[in-house]
Amino acid sequence: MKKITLIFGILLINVTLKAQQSIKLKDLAVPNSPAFILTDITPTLIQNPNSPKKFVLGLAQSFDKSSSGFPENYAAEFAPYWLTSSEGKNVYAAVGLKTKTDDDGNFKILNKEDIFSGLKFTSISLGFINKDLIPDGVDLSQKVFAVGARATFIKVQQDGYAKKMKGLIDEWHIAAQKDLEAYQLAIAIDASQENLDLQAKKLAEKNAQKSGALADEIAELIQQKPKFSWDFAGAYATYGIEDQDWQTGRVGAWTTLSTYIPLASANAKAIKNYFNLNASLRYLRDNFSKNDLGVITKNNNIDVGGKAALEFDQLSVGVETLYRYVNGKGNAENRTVGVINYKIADNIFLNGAFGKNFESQSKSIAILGINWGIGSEKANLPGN
Amino acid sequence: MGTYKTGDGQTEISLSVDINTLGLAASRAIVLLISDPSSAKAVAHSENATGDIAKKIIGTSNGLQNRRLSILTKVDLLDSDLEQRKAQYNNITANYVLSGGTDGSVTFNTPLKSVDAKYKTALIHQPIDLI
Repeated sequence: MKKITLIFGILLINVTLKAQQSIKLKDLAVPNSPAFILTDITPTLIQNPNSPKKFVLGLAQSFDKSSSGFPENYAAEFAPYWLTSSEGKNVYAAVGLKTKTDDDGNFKILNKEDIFSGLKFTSISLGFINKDLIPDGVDLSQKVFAVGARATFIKVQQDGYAKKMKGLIDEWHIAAQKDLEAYQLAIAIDASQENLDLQAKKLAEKNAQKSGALADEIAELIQQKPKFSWDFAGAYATYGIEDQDWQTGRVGAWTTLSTYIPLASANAKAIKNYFNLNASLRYLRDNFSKNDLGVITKNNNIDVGGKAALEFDQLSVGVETLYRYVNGKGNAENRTVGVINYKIADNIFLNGAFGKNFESQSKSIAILGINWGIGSEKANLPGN
Repeated sequence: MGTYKTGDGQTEISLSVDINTLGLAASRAIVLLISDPSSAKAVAHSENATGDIAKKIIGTSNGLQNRRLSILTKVDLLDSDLEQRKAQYNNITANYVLSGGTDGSVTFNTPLKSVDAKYKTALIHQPIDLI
């Protein structure tokens, strides 16, 4: 009973104190879907079309449902690179290794990484929603169209990445040739679809041994945090007011610089512990914001934040600082706090933040709570 | 199943393979007499994980006639998201070019495809009967 009371107590503190904070450092980090962040589109509305056909179909259906000519609520997020045909693409481009085709047409893989390789994975988010984003006291939805893009401009991998990645891929290729040698005769003799399906199933079961294990290792290396990355995002939302008049509603821009210094040898199989430093800058313009006098006015926010943290597999400990400038002036939400996250079990995280607001030395922040997450992500500090 | 007329002389027949995928790919080509599987002989393979095979002579018209050419590619898809892997599997394309025979240069691009339930490992097979 005491334990239950304690847990409820902690959760109550969490809810009460969280309500006092309207911005968090993680809000400053470059979002995956800037258009949705800008217009508060709920995740349940979002589609992730994995082919151009699905995207066009989804959009067409939302137009069909509409009687006004403006789509019913529709939001989609996609990276054009993944949607388009694989023509001319290969795994080396996907993992960020540089390649070269010489004058004789010979393809060569270089032991160098392409630091701009993240650009091709630029993602687009767009949404058509009917929502009241003007806080004027009139309960009337506007037609809102929002579009945004997110890109990694520069990504420098950890030392030795290119050599390690090329080495693993070479090993995989040798192992895969052996797989082919083992299965090809049976597939060639009975060249039916049924037999190919049967052999593919057998191969997948056996695959966990050599080439499958190498593929898993390659996939893990892709997930490794970079030594340095520079991410950008931008979004624009326009409101259809009284059907005919379209006006700019909100504009946002985000950028984050991050560095992850591994706390293990570069030769380690997979790096999971880092010292992380990052800095984020966010600009938000809202042309329909209510000021302290209750008047609708334009509002410009610039938020600057940074974080230094030690990140281990289960535990993250760090300090983060955040400054907000509203129309060029400092704000009460400026603060520096210590943050701790501990992964108790899969999907259960203990989060804590302790510190003081800048405005008043007497205003302390103390948050301790348990989060039940979905998925099995590592416990990361906000902003990752 | 494709067919290709090699003719019956000593003309050299060439093969090139172009695999388009973001996954890891490896390709191998063999020729065999269907009536005698022990006759199977490897004639070409990819040199890297693009799965491509640069244009290569695989034999003479006489030596290849009445045999089956089998080009098999294994692809391991790396994305951690199942839906992405499905999309990547659907986007895999392949072009196989045979040249030097009576049919001249012919491109085959409708291979059989199969993938495991997790969409992690795919097999792409293009059989061509050489006549």
